[in-house]
Amino acid sequence: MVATFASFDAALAANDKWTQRVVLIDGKPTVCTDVSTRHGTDSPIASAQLMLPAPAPSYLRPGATVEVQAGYRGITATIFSGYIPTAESVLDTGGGWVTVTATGWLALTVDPPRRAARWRGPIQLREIVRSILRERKVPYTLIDDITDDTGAPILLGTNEAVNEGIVEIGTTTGFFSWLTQTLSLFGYEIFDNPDGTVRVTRISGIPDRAPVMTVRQGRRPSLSFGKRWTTDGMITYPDVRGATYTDEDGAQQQVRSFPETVVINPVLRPLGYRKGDRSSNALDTNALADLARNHIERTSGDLITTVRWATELAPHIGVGDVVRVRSSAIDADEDVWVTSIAHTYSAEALKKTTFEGQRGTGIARPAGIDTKEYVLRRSPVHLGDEVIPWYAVPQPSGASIQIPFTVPETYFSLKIVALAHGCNSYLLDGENTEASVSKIVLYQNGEQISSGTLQSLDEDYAAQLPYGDSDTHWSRIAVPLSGSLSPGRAVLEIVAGEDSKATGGPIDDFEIKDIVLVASGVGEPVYVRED
Amino acid sequence: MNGHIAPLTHFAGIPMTILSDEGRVQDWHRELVVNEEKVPSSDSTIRQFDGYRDWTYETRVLFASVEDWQRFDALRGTSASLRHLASTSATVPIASRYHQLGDDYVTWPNVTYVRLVDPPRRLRDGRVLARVVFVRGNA
Repeated sequence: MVATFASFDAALAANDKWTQRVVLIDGKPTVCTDVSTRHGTDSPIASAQLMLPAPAPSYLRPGATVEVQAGYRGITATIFSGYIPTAESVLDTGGGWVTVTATGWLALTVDPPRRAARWRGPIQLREIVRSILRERKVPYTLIDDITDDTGAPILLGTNEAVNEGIVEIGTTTGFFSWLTQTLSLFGYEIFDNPDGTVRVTRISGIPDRAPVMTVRQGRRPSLSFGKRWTTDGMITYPDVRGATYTDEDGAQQQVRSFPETVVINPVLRPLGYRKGDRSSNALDTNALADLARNHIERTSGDLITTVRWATELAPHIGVGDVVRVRSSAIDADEDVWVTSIAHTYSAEALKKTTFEGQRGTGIARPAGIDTKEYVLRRSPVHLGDEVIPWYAVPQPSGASIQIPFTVPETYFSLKIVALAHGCNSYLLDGENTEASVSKIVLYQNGEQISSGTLQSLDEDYAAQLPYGDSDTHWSRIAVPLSGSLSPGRAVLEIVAGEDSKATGGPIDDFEIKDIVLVASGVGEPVYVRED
Repeated sequence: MNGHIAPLTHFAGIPMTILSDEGRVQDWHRELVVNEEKVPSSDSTIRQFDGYRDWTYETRVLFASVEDWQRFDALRGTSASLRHLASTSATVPIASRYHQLGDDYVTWPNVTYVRLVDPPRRLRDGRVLARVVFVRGNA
């Protein structure tokens, strides 16, 4: 009596078994001699090749659906679902054949949107994925929650300064490329799964799920094992950059994340580390950039190890599943994420499945600080031409001061932040009156590089506020430094301007202190050796 | 030459007599498709059964004339119906048999004459003897 099996585990444990397969084209059972399928995170759109005896059946047409089910007597599973973009007929000495190439449902997302797609943030990344797949009428989907390491949903569009908080996919970007690139930032993959679903799941670091299968050397159903490690692709210093935006002070900023420390690893000759740059405008906060960097560190921070193994046909395993691989011959005893599955179903050969798996053994590290503050002057200085007793420094120091400083080697933007009062304001007919005469001027190598007008802060002359007692009556001012500043020495000049309308004196009187140069994009990790 | 088995057998309407081989009449048979591979580092072998190959029937046939033989041999690679004695076959379903002139016969549609095993022999009386292979699908 022919054995029938209640589960794939039982079928794969048996020596002898009858195989079964059904190929449906547009729902009609179709004779095929050979079927091969390929699913994986490296080529997320699945493909299948079907060999049919010529002539082709009448229902074989562009766009026809394809479903392949395979297994053993008693139990089968879908190993491919998709549609046909290509078919080729051949007649040669070997006979007449039709080769049909089918593609998985994720291919529906390849084309860009007809009109730019926009989502008002903050919005969960999962919702964007779901709405794209729905818009493209992908028939079967399975989307995991897309979360950070704490389990909180990943949100896009939380930074109002970036595109006004709107997540946008333009008409030149295919949904597919946006989805794959954006999801992979956070350790998520989107791919066609052999069971016919378009799946979104997390494949990052060391597998944290129970294995669905164990393959052991010398035990059914294993047919081959292989393992490869390489330093190619290792990144121990990921430098992740995100969107640029204008901050509340008017200075350009860029989202960035880099590790606080980089551990020197002697296998990475000659430097002991390898820097990897990654950028995406979808990263609109430093927290998202940190997530992206941590994923790179987990996945690529150590030797890139790929395990390959083959079994007889195993239709029940999906990409993103965890499989335990044990083979002393290749020194493997580990749980790996399944990243690639290839089924081959040929009439004259053992029906097989070839797998590829990976695990990331790198360590996620804390973020480094990307903004540095250089204190240029702490003590207050009074610029102007009047002695004002209630000022912190009643006696004026003149109409300007010059403060030398050093421009860092690399930076993204610079701004001067200080506390001040009374600048660009004077008393006219008992009222605070704005002016625009006092400014900051930058010099380098004796040339003026740029200048910026100081904000107008009410003089409140009549109130005679006690500026020397505390910071209470001082206001924060910020001036972005525009122009091209080269690394090296530079001079900041703060100038109290003249305004003929002022009644107390022609020069604007004000005080300024706690003058700080804020440089962003200047962070560098600390290189450390670990024993 | 062995005995004359039945007078009403034919392929594509061309009369022929199916002969036994040293007293043994051949029968249709088909092979199981077996694919196997050894599990490395073990004594185990995985064996998959993938159905059957086509039914095959290799037999000696006798034609009454050179003309009949030549008409038959022109059909190599062609499908037609083959009628032969059912009583000599263990594989013919009982329901497919029919009785004619004292013997049980079976007619298979879509049988392909695929191969001439040896060159034909023309006998002195004008008859032609040949060994041929027929194939039919599993349906």
